[in-house]
Amino acid sequence: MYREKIVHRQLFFLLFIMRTTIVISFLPVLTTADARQDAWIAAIISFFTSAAAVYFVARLAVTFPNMSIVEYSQKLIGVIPGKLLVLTYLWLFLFIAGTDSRLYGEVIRSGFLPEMPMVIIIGSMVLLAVMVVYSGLEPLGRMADIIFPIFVLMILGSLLFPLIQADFTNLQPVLSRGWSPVFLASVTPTAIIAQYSTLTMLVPSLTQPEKTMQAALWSLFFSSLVLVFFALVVVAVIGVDGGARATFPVFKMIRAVRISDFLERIEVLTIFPWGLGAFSTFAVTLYSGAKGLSQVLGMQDYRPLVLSMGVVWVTLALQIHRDVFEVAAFFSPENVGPFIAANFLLLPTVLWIAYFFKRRHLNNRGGS
Amino acid sequence: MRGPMSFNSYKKIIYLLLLVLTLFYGAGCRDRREPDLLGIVTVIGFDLDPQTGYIKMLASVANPSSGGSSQDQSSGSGGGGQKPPFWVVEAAGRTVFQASKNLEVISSRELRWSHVDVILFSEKLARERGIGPVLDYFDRERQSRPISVPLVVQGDLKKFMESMYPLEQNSGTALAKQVRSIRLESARIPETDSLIKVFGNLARPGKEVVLPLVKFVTEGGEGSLGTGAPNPAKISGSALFKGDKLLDFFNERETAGYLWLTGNVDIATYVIRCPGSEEDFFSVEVDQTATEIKSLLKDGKLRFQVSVQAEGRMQDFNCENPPRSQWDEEFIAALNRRLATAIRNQMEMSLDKARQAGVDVFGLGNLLYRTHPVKWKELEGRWGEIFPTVAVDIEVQAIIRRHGLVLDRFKIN
Repeated sequence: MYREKIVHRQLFFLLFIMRTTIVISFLPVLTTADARQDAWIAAIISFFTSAAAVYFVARLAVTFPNMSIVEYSQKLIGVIPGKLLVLTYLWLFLFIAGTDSRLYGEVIRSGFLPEMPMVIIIGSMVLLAVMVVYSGLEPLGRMADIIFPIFVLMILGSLLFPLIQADFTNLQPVLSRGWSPVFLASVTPTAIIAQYSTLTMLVPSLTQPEKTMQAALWSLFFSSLVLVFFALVVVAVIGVDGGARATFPVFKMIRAVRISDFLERIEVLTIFPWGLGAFSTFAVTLYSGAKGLSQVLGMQDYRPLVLSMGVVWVTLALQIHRDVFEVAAFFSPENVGPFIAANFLLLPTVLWIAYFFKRRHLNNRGGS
Repeated sequence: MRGPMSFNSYKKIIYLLLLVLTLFYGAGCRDRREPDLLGIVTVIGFDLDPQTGYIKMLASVANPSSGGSSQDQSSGSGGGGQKPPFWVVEAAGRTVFQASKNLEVISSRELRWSHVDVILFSEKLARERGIGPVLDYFDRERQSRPISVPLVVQGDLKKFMESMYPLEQNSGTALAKQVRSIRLESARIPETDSLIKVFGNLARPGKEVVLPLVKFVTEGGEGSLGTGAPNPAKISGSALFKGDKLLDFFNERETAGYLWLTGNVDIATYVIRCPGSEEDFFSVEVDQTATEIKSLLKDGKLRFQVSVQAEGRMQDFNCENPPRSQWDEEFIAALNRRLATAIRNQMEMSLDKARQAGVDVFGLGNLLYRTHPVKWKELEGRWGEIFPTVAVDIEVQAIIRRHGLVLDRFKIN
């Protein structure tokens, strides 16, 4: 059977876009805990903790370069336990997609179209994602090639234009309240790394699977860099308090920017890449979910699942959080931390243990 | 062999339907809020209703039917008379949002708040109720922008909003332009020319808010604008707040001192008595500035050190030429000293006024918080008492760099 291929560059683009979109959407380092003007330090810390988590998950994926997590978990811990445990990942894909699309819906609803039914906003995006996933992984990769430059330019724009209004004294004093709020603030951005779980489904489709780690860590590095800069600029432009209270701090900042009499109201620079990023996230998670489920069910092709999964997902996005208060509560470190730890790290931990036992077993058998 | 319709023809039909769908995008707004149903608000004013204590909201709505007035007049029928370029409507409510909703029932158009240029606070509201309730509304509301200009109005707010501007169609653009040109050309109003700066300053520890002040000049004639009609707004000086409540005012010179102390002077004008003659003046425009403030902690004693550097150019010189017609260093130094003293006086006046009122508008406390967070934590609760007595050393260096196109004043023989 023909296997669709993407190159690691496209993987890098996709992962970068996915992570950057969500970390700048609500700037978790600033809004989820009490790091205040030290949010940028939390962003730096979150790079290292996230990198560790990514390494943990991706290393295993690279060990089995021709298999998805559904396949190698069956190989490592047996068919039935493997299939059952891998459901946590399939659930995670669905959950990430649901939460991300809800966030996207919320920003459109609170910033632009207050009366638009949420189901239309999310539904139209999901329909688009369904279309692209139906076309396959290769079109998805090529799409990443096209939107990446636009995405980066707009992100740069929304980072650089506000600088004319920046007052960097807002960042003082540095670390005046010790390290603990800073560490707490790095929990949520680390938890968002759960998006990289899609990696375990994409690795077998890479032309050079051995470059997975490179793509994953570099994408993480650059998106963390973007996060650090936004944490600095948002605090410098709208102040610590203005940023920490905001539902969507970057959006709030860009609304406050007035470049000249003619150039003001430049929100498009933030919202446009946000839409592109949300769309990429939806497409990648939908692909991973559908592909994974088809493998669990032993289906030849994932395509028949795509549309119905999209419907489930829209429903989930609408039901998953009652209101925007609950979305915010979900992303507070004490909630999202354990949730992601359980869903994102449980499966690879089990698989790693199984892998070590199995390897010794295999080696012993090979030696005798 | 062939089916009645191949997969491709289905595809074509689907694409055709999708093409039809694109029609809906071009047609405009989803819920048919066409521009002629909307009233664009350019100025919002807030006042306090003395009887009920409710917040009064006044909106100046741009009137499109008066737009491009001169052409209308020449080509139009002339009957019915010209409609005024904007319309002021007011309503009250317990909260700002309620007031804004109460405006809807007395307006023929749905009011849009996304193009508000200026937000006015009456002195009464700012003093008695505080501007806090208004600010939260603007922080939260999707349509408003934090780039609107906040101003405190002295005088009757309603009459002020109703008055017309000789050079502009509507009051919003007029006031916003006026604020911007004053900021560009002089040091007469504080730097807080957008809501976002107000939010920033309110939230900073050890820094109080200052807003530009508008004085209502005259209650000009009804409707008609003669060539000598005054501009209703004189924007100069500033309103000092403690928290969100108005406490006192800075006049123009004190405002300049405030700008020096906070490092926000771009251009400032000084008219100074000549050395050797008390009747004649020379004037200098300062165009290069730098302010540095340090907080010094020595043996637990706190003091602030402000050093200001100013460079300017001569704009008028009505003094007698120095005897040798040689501008020796001594003479120039005397001019420079006079300029430095003028700047220093303004700073001291401003500091005195703020100390009397007990509001740290300069952000000295904020500087302490930024540089000595531990000390600030200790003093934070008592800062209101400490600020009026804390030592502030001011050092001004002024240099007149240029003298324009001539050196000596012309001679009258």
